[in-house]
Amino acid sequence: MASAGSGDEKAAAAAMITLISSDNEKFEVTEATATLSQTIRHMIEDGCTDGGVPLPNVTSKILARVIEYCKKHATAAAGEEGSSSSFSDAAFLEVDRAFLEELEEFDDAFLEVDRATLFDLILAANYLDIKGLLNLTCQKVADSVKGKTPEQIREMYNIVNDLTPEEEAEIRRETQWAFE
Amino acid sequence: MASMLLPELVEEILLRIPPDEPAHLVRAALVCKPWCRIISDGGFLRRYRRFHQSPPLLGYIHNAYHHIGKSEIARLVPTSLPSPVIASSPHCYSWWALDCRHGRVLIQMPTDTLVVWDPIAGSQQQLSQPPYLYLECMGAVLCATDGCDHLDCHGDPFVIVFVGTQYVGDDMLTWTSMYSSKTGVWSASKTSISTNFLTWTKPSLLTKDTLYFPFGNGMIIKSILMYDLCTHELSAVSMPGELSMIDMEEESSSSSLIKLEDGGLGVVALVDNCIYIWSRPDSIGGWVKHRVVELGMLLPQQPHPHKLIGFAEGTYTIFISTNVGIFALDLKSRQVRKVGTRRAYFPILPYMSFYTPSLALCLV
Repeated sequence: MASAGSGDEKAAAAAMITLISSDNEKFEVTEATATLSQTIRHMIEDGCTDGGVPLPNVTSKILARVIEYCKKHATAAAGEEGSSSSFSDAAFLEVDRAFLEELEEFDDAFLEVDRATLFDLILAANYLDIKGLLNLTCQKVADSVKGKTPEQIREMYNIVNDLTPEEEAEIRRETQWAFE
Repeated sequence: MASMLLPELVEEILLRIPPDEPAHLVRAALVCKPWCRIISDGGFLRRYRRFHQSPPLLGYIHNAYHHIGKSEIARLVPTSLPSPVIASSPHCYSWWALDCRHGRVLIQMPTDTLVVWDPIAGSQQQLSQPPYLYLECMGAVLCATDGCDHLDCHGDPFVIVFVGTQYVGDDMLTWTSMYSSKTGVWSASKTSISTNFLTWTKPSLLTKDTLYFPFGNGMIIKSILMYDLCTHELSAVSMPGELSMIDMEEESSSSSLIKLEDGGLGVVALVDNCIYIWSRPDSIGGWVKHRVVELGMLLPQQPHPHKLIGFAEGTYTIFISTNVGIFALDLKSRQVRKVGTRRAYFPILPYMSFYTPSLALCLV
């Protein structure tokens, strides 16, 4: 299609960036994939990416997962342009729907990790400023809190209860309905 | 492991606890002091409400005519349990909810008084009806705080707009009067336009500065009146031609008002198990019909038609009554959720509000 972009845009899409993990592993990714990270986007804009981008807070194991996420969602972002998000004919909605379902399936599979990896992904998403990934991973933890008692939440996340018995009683009294 | 999470990341997680079951956030406040502090913080609560945008559905008002020997009474049915909203309904068997918005419910009591009920604060304010005669009436309640985002507003100040119909000679005329809790008085009645008859009522719809009142028979809208909150003028809105043709006795159709993405008025109708939406793009001037959802696989099949019995203002959620209960259908995501059991329903009034109490005072 003519709207696919000018020659400059094509060149930008093909440009490669090297990311270097804390354990010194190098990952070659396209600029479109890398710029899902606002942190890296700013580094590219400032011209500080020659010789690779060192990411001292992210291990190769986690970085590989983060790149997997960014690759999928960069493709998704490109495909999304021009698609409809408001009420429109059923045919358009079908296309949107199939597309979103595929992305959702990817995200669900992506989140099938142990708790330590999930927390590492949250830290990496926060450090790299990848909005979608931070949202996805934090939502997973938030969902795991649903329907749990305070004791179960503490046990799941290894949290020490520092509320005094008086404070706990007072909160329970104020919100009695929630414990019925 | 949790110690690896920086406090601002704990906040990111707590922010995403879904608001439709308020007990989850309350229970999280009991985990430890840092979590309780975050959840009690005014800044966090403002961010939480903005993050989730529209207030969640906490329940719906089920209106019912009370007869001696029948157990049906009007009540607020919670859509999740435990719920913060069930403790305080009016102590009377035959109240009728006219409208519900901004965390407040407008109720008509059998004694011809009105009550503005705040189910979360548990408060009820009683006031007299406007001193003008009417055969049938509708009412709308809305928050009157300047600049309020209406995500968690309660109590005073509020405004009520009351619409009554009355015969003057052979003509059926419509009058309006507005009540402000700031002044405590009803405005002089403003007789406006002759109108169709009005039987069962459906709740109003608020867009920016305009209230829309649907007239019809409870299931089908036949005409719409528009009340301008700035000029206090009442005027008629033309209906989509196709819908105004539908016979009131027609069993296979039901319709409701809906607020569209651009903030304007829309009409949604369920016709032969298909959902349609009419919008009024400014450029065209008339109504444009869109086919949105075929109910086929979304809801349980049944021999007689499903009924559209309500809408959640400011969202794309509509409520459909079926043989096996009430379902909430999100018209954008097409997600369907059962929210109530089977009953003979009048149009329902969804109750939507955040429940975000500050618990900071509980900490020493």
